[in-house]
Amino acid sequence: MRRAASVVVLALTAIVFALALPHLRFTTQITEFLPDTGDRTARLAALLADSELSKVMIVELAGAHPSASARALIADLKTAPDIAMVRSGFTDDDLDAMRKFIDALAPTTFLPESEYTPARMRARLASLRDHLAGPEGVLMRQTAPRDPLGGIWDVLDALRSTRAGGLVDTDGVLTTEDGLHAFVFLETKSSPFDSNAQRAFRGVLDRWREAHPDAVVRTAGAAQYAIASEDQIKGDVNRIGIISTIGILAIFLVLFGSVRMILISFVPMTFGSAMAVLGTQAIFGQIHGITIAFGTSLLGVGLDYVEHYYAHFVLTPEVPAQTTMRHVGPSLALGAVTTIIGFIGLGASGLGGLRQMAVFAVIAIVASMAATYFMVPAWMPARYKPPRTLGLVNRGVLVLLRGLTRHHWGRIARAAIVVITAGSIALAVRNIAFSDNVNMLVDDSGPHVVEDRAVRALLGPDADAFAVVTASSDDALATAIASACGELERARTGQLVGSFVPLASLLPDRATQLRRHDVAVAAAPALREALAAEDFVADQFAPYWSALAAPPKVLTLADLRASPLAPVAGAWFPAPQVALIPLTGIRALAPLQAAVPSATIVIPSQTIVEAFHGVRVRTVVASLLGLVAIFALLFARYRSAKKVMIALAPALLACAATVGALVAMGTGLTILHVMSLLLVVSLGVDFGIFFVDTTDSLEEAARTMVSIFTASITTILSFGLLGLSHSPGLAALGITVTLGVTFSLLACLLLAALAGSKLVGR
Amino acid sequence: MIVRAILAVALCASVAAADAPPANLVTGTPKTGTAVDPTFAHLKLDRMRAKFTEQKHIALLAKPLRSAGTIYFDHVQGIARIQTSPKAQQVTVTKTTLKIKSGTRVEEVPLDKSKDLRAFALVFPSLLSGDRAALASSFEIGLYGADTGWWALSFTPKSESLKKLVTSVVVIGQKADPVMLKITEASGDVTETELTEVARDKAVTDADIAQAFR
Repeated sequence: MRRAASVVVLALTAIVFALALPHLRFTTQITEFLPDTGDRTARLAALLADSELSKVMIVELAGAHPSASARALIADLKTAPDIAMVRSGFTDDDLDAMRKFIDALAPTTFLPESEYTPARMRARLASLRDHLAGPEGVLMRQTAPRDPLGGIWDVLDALRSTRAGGLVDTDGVLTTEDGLHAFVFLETKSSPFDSNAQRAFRGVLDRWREAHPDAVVRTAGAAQYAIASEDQIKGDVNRIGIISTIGILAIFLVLFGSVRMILISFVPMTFGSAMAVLGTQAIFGQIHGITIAFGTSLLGVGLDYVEHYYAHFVLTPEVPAQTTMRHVGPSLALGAVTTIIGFIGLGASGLGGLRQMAVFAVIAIVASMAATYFMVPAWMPARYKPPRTLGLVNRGVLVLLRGLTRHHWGRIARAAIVVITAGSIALAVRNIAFSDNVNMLVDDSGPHVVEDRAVRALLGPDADAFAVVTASSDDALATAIASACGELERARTGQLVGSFVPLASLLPDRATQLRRHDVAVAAAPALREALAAEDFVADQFAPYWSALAAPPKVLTLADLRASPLAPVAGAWFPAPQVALIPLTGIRALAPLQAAVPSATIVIPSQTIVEAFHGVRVRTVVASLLGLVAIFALLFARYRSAKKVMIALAPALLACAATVGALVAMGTGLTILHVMSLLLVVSLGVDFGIFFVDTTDSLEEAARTMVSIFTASITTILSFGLLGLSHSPGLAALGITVTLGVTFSLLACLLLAALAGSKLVGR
Repeated sequence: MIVRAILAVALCASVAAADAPPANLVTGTPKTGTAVDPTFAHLKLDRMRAKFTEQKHIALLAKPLRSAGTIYFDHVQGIARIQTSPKAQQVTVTKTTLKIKSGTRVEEVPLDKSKDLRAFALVFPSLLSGDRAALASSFEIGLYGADTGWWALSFTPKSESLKKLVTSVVVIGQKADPVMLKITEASGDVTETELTEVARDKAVTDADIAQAFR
């Protein structure tokens, strides 16, 4: 009956999975691993990671004719699929459109009220006359009738000051001064983190490159990180999957000697993985590459339940399979529940990516546990002759346990061991160095990183930091920008900041624009006098007088976003009611922040670090709460503090030893190490539970140790290989869990030694 | 931007002093095509130095703006206009850059910033090297008179964007000597420049050129 039910369940799962397969969406979006806890730092980190600054891809063209190559690339990409924007510098048409847009605004829009005194007006008119006589006179001549005081030139100067130094705009193509490198900026309709779309775009770029062999093409941008990250994760998954599968097969074959049992053992983890993929896709709408890699490794954990059951089944073949499951089942279920509690803590970390991994793990564990309990026993062989190897291992473990438990440790000796252990833990904890400067998904020595940095270096230095201004409406934002820019100007005078983009000059707030218009109207008679005094003919400025007579057209943020200036201004307004004012030359953050209360000064790298600091603290707290929950669960199960402590001991000792080992290796503990330690605790508690539950006799204790030993080996096979990953995040996970599992095994042996003759029959 | 600078600086360089031209010189249908080549051949110079006086009639101003100074041309370095009145200013035009020094203020503008500016940058080196083909890509060129006496070369922009800035440029000369230029802007403003005391080629020393382009 159970066989038929399990076949039906597996068949249904296979059908659903096959149907869902075309709809599965995978991502490597780095923002999934940025905190989304809603606090200000987390929001700023997400904003910076998702702003236009990260969306735009930069293509550098060198070779025989960089500018011509850039023009050809732009022309070709304009008709390519998935291209949302492609440009280089500003063409004559772009500049013409910008000029027309600015010309349509009130001529008073950009000129500060302080410029309407008689002295200042005469100074500006004298300057206009000089300019009309000079080389730039032709352009000045075009704007002067409508803007005699030259407010438009102030804003154009402000815009020009924001352009990266060392670059030249050659008829719409931005190049380095020597003309050897040209740049094209583009944005795809698809997310830069959509690796499939970006791979398709790379294909377009590669074909263009083949058709233009004279052009040397390099790129910078988030997309190449996404592709490299996915390639890396796929490589890791394939390598880990293949090698760990071979390793696990070999171990099962040697220990259990049955192809049938090997095949059965894969049912729970395959079932668990399939359910986890389907569940994660259903809940999150997509699955992160890291989750898949992590899930692959979870196969080893899913095997633990089967292994524990197999060890007891194989070493007591005379006991019916269902009976053996009923005997070890409660321990397996308890182990699974404690592991789930651990992963719930992981989900509370505040990282979307980790939350997804937690959900994936919980589903995988529940499903594989259920499959182990309900499906596996029904398919176990009725007649089974265990291989000699397992008998040998079992006998070896039995001898080891006898040796370990023969010695009786006195109270003093045990107290000494406890003190030494506690001292070691204290020493390790004291020397822990945390690092929140995580670089989870990026192998920063990869060619994509080197190329990215080389291209960006040619473009000149980026802004050191940003003043982030937020408000409840566009109008309020413009007002807040004015306040922030005023404060920044004072900070610049006080040498707290080298320079900043004068956003308030480009977007004066509504009240300021209206006030400027009123002041200009009032100053009109004085301006006529000043014009006459500087030999101008006042009536030649009819467009200006007409503009003063009309209600002023107020420039709004919405106008700016829809204007030809949008390509310039877009990066400064990354989200509704948010402005980023780029800053350079920050001397010290704290005094600058104090001097600019209207904005939050953000140094992107530091903001990410601060955000991850918060996540790490929350994860530690959640883990401790998880530990308390596990303690409560175990206490409810055992009703004995001593048994609970024994069950928890392997996990806690392994955790402490792992931290000690990492500290000794000089590793700064990141959020991923903390998360991995959570996994270590979960696995260690499983071992502890098996140790407490199934040691009624020394022989059973040996069988339990065999199961713990095989579980450790298979887990290490999975996670150990993760440790070889080029992804710093996966490597941290692998190394930490490998150390933790190893120490858990050793802790079990230590417990056995300390228990002595009391090991059995507790 | 900088159109007037190029026109004023570079066209001045191609003009040499002489008697007044006939009033009806620029009338009728101009000669075009290869008929202008002999005149271009006369303009081919290695170096030149000349005094200039200039009047700008700008509608915005009640009085014309007047300036004077010396202009230098070197076929390798480009053109330098050293203005001495009403105030000192040095403007140099190379193949790639326009540089303006006025008091302590220095402004550099890449000439290849736009196709219009590039067109102007090509006009005057091309004119002084007698390269009609290069000029013909951006301007309609017409010749009034003949290179045996008084002549006038007119340059009318072909592109709409250029037309928005300049209506026409006329260089007037007698035999081998250009003597005057007249720039009519789209706004109707007119700039007239006369050249005197022209020195050509070897009469202009290395020291002169070094001083002008420093």
